[in-house]
Amino acid sequence: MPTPTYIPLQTITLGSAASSVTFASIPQTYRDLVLVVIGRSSYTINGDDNIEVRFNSDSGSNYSRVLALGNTNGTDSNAAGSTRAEFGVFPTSASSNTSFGQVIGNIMDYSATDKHKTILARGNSVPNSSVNMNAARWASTLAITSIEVQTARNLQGASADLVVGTTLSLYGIEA
Amino acid sequence: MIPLGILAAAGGAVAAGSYDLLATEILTSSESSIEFTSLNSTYGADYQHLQIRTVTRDTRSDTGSNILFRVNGVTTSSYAHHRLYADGSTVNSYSGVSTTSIINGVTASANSTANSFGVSVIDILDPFTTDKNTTVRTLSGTMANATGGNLLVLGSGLFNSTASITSFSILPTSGSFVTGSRFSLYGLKASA
Repeated sequence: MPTPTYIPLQTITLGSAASSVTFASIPQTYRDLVLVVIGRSSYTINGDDNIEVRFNSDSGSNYSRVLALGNTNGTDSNAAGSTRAEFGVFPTSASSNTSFGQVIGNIMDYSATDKHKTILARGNSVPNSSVNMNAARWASTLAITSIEVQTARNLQGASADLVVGTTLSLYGIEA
Repeated sequence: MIPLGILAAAGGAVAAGSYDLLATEILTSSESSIEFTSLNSTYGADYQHLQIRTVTRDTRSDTGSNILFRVNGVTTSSYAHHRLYADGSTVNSYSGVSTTSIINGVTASANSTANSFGVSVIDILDPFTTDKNTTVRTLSGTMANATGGNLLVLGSGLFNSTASITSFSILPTSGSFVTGSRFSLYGLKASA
């Protein structure tokens, strides 16, 4: 029997700039999550920022990722361990950019407790005409109960908030 | 109608019941292939597109492997595929024509870090029409271990036939999918 799914769980639209946004108490009644971020970083020094996430407040070196990036300079791929999971490239406010970009990521089997959590995501950034795809793994079998969203530049200590009007939406998909 | 893939990027406007879970297989023992059958007769009247979401690991002795995809039980040279892929060092592409399956996503394998699985989101566009060949689009990735074996794929595939899809199968390159691997099928309606 078909079951309607892809259920909106929460949407947050920023009325003021924020250094991070957290989805807490995520219900465990779905199998996958989809996180959509439409917005911009306030960082002004470089055209590209990234959306990155941490699960269950884990700031340890328990994340890894592989990405492919294309922009006006060519293509690049790299892989690394990290203290957060990279979601996707995201526009900054450099060169007076006011355009928003979008990052969309699938968090697969987030409620399962027998496997690490793997992300598939895509992003784009207007100032550098960048587009990327990304896979990341959180090396934990814990079910994901919270997601903290920040910009990479902010996590690196720069002034890089999510700007006013940035929208973050979380969906649940049953299986 | 919102095409699959664009659906999520739109960040909303998903009418209730427009995206439905149709079936799920979560393995309780290893399986050498997964098949969804009776698709046209069961879902053809109600759904315009299909989506498959997989979380997989196989028994092949490697850090990562390809996943194969076949339609309607066809094993002849009726497929084509091309993919853009990244391995943590470079971005490359390759293609194949007149192949016996679509080389689709990637999966974690026996030498991947314990408990790690590869994931894929596969869109099958217009699977039930009979006026066009069927195309498949895939975003897939696997993070094998700390030293390598990381793969990321954006791929497309062609079933060189206008036949309506009655079944499809998902196979590892060799070996079996392990216990815990998941294969979920979803449908996107053409209208409410």
